[in-house]
Amino acid sequence: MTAFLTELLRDLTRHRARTSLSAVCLLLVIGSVVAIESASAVAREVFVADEEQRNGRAVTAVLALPGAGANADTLRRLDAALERRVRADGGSATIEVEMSARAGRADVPVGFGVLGNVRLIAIAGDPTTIRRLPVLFGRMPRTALPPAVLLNAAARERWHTDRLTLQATPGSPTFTARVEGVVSDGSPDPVLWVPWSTVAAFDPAAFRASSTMTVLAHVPGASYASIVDEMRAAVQEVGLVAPVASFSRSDDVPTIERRLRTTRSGFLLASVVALVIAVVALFNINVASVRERQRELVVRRAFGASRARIALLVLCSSLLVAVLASGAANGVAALCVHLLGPAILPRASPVLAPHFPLGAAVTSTAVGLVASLLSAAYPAVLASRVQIAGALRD
Amino acid sequence: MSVISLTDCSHAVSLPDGSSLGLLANVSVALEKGQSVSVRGRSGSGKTTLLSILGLLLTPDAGQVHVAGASLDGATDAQRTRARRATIGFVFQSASLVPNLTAYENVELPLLQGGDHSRARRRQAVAAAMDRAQITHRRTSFPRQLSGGEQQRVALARALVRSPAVIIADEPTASLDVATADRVLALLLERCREDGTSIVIATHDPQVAQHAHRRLTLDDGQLHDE
Repeated sequence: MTAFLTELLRDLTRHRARTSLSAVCLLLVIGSVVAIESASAVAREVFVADEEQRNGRAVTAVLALPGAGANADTLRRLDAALERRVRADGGSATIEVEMSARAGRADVPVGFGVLGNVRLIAIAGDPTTIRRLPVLFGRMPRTALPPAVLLNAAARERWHTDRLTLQATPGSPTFTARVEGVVSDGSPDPVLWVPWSTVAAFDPAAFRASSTMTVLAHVPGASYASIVDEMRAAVQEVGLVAPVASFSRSDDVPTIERRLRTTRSGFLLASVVALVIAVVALFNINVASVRERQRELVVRRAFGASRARIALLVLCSSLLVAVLASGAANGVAALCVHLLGPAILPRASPVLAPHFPLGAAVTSTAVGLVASLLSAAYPAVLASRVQIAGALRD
Repeated sequence: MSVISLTDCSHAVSLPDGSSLGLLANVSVALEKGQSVSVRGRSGSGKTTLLSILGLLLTPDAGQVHVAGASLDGATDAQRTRARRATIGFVFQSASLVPNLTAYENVELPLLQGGDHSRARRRQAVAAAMDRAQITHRRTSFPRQLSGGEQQRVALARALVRSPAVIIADEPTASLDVATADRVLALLLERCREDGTSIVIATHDPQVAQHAHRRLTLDDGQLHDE
């Protein structure tokens, strides 16, 4: 065994041109497969992230309750029911009531008429747990008082302040809210999220029978049907009626996955092409190497090397290069992902920095080993069949 | 008991025009332990073919080959390889060293082709063989850095490293100057005397042949004692 390993290492280190060419070739194909797989994963992530930022994480169920008597008491009881049925199991749920509010900088007196129309969402729960909203700083306010607000990036850009004057509904009293956090929701228009209890404290009439309550729920790993079951039970608990037909899926990730299937097939095809090119290139390198080493192989056979040993030497030598090249390629890939990923993504992007593609690394290593085996199989047979009858003739 | 013997061996080669040329016709020869045998003959007389059969590199068309009394009739390639590994060392006309390996590594090569040799045993055997071939001082040199005579001494050390029962040498001095040729020949015959190694040397040179215990001539496919 040690003798064979000695021969194997000598074979690699003393035929540097062949080893280097094979290693570069494998490095390229393995690197290509990792890059192709990573690109495929990043492409999917970009589309899914956009969808989850706008409409909710996969899988999010939504229930619109128009004219459901969205008074503060109903909202409080429904929030408590969702806490028990959804959030307690590791899920997330929000109840949103959208209002046509007005807002302005708190350091400008209201009398100067600088309050502008804005979309205000009175919310029970944390919107960042339902939608993929990168938090630029702070967090969703958790208590009714003192008043606090969560802004989107457009609102932050518009007012550039840490205190806002708000008027939840026309004619209602104004109140000043501290900016507790800023998130990126991808919207060009300003959006404010205020705890429903804060709105209720300053404007008890803000929740009217005409308001529409939108209930959203997301449980990681749960099916759409099971989420709907829990939501319906919560709604029934507070005496509201919600037929199955009134539920729908908020996110459209499955459609995106379907559309991306063609793209992924393209990426897969590119991987196969890279593999074929590598096999052909490695095959040529190995055949040329065996032909160049005919005399050496004859001498080895004359001194007692069996056909199997010669074949094994060629095969193992090729495999060892593949293993080393895989390690190098995956190391470079890991370094690129670790250093480049976070550097190129903007802070406000919902796209997650790519992780080291472990699956791609395993696939590419397997591809490298298969490529090296396929390309070395015939040269190994060729090497084992050198004619030793003419060994004494140069 | 003979170390290697051929009994009524015949061998022919096919020519490009489809005809065949008989090189050996019912040749019988037995090689005894510690015996040196020279084989002379004109070019194309079949000397290399005879040595190839003796070296178990070539199977004769007809006849029997015995190694240490055991017949190799019907032996598989693996069995012939094992017998060759255990019994025979080669010195080729040109040294035929592996260009990418140092002198030390070239000498070590036969020990790596099978058998149970630890690194320490290999190191010891290589050192002894290089010492006997008086080439230890060039152990780290590559073949391209060696003279013709030095290369042939490395080749001789390689043939000796397994302490084979038989050394087959095909015109080992043909490409060397007289002084170097004498030195290589002296080293070969020394092994024959001191270790009881049997040696078969194919040569054109009567001066080389005269040192052998037994001198044979190959003519028209027949072996004759001189």
